[in-house]
Amino acid sequence: MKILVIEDEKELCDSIVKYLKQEGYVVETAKDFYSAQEKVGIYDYDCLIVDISLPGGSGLDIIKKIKKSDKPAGIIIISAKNSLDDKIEGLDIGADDYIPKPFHLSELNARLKSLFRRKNFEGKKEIVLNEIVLIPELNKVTINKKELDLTKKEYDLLMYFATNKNRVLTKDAIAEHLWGDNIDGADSLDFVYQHVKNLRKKIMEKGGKDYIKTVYSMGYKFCID
Amino acid sequence: MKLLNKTGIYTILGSALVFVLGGFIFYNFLNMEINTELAEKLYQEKYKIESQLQKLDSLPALILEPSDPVQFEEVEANEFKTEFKFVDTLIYDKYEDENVPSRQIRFYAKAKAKIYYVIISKSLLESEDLVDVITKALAILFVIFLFFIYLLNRFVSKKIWSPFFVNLNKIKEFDLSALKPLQLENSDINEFKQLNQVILNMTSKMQGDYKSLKEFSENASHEIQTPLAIIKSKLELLIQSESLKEDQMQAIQSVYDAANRLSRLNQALILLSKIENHQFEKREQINFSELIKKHISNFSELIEAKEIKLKQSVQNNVILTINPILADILISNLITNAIKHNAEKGEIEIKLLADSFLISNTGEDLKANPLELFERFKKENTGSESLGLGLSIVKKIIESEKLLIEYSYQKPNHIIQIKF
Repeated sequence: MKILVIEDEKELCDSIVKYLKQEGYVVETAKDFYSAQEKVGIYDYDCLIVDISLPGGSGLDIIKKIKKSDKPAGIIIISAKNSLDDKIEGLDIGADDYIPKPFHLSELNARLKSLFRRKNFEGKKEIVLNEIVLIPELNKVTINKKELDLTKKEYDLLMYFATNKNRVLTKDAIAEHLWGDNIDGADSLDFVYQHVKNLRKKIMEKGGKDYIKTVYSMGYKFCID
Repeated sequence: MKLLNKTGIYTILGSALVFVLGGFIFYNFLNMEINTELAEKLYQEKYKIESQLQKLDSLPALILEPSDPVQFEEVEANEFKTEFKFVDTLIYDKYEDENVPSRQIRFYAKAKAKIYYVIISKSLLESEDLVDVITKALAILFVIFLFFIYLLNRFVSKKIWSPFFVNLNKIKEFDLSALKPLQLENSDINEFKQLNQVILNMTSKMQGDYKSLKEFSENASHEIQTPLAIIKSKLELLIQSESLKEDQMQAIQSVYDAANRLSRLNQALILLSKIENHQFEKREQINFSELIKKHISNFSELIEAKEIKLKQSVQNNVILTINPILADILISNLITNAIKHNAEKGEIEIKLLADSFLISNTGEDLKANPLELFERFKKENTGSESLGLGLSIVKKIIESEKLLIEYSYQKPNHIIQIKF
């Protein structure tokens, strides 16, 4: 999987690159409009992560260009402007997703994976975590071939773990992933705890292993080899 | 009290005084004139009688009534005096059956052989009637005057004050955040012209200040986004490290929590200023019932986890013309609010009717003024981690979408009702 990150803020760009490289992607960067245009013109990428406001031009123009060229790249917009217009216009001209800054890297990763799944880039329809198998098309989970009955939120939570396996997921990132960024305050963190507890219980009842580890009070990690 | 009423009252009081004083003077002058006239008439009668008597030996014996204007009495010759006197007295009038105030001239008159004592009377009733007439006339005049003043005031208020009232209404409706300049009606009256000028200067100054303040806070918010994004992403990378000790992790967590809080705060402020800037003007017909059901199911597990009992009655297919994003935030904020501030094992009631939406939750009595809860950064519990912006966002949305919101507390329920 080859990804191009178009982001002018060096530090943020580095963080994204580092996180995605750990996921095993090939990541390249472009720090301004012209180098981005150049790279998009020469190389093929599976996905573009595009900031809208760039030195030298708008990220929207790059999206338009790649859409015209018939290259099958997925596009995720990241925009600090948090502007609705950007979002609407971006999705209108063919972007696949939009994440307002600031965002959790784990959220970006989850969206990226979900995009790849939808585009069927990785060629598999199931996510296999040892005995646990997620079938996103059917929103179904099985453990040792037996179906696991999960609520919507529990399914989303497991999916979030699956796309960020062996990563520390902060409670905050989980809360935002499950309920959107309207959720505010300490209460939501307790709810995350409740959900993780329930999910863990359900998995273990069906004979699954306890993969979810608590990382101090910071968050959780789905540990799997 | 209206300015016109006030000046009207002073005009009426002043003119009433003038009318009373004028009446008094008028009466005195007239009275004086009448008295002189009366005296002259009595003199004339006296002269007539004297000159007639000089030609006669004696007067014919007449039966005189006490009310007759001329009375005679024969007296001894030695009683004759040349002096005469005026006397005011009451004379009984047989026909009218009342005492009539009269003025008399009393004198002695010589006939050829005899001396008579003569009394000539004239009724004073005329002058008494005069007071009556004057009072009545003045009263009528006064009423006419009042009516005139009333008409004048109406005219003045319509003609002269109308630009003033028009402008007053415009100033009342003036919205600082709308950033539309105030348009005032011109007047040819100098005072009003000056007033308009002063108000226009003031409002444009206010708008300028408001605009730059707003731009500043907006820019600040946007500029804060990027460093925040960097802090968060670096922290997220840092916690992936396997070699961190617990105390290091705790320190990182504190920083991470603070950064998240700042980030949420910033986003809420940006949202508020966007609503204020009318960046959510696009309205669509949305199915409010479905929206509410969606949010209830989104939060249902949260509600269960907190052991809150949810009572809901959502009428189907309630269609509203509203900005979809704002509608989403509105409902989500209200439901989160009801969950967050609920009592242990409390209750939430959600009711949607064709013309109103009601959400109530159990909770402790408010210590603060309920209206303050809708202000920014007001929260019941200052120690809580809540931002204190949720309800002010709700209020801004309500204002922007021109809905009505009501808060009431019926122990133990906090009730928020929105009317469409």
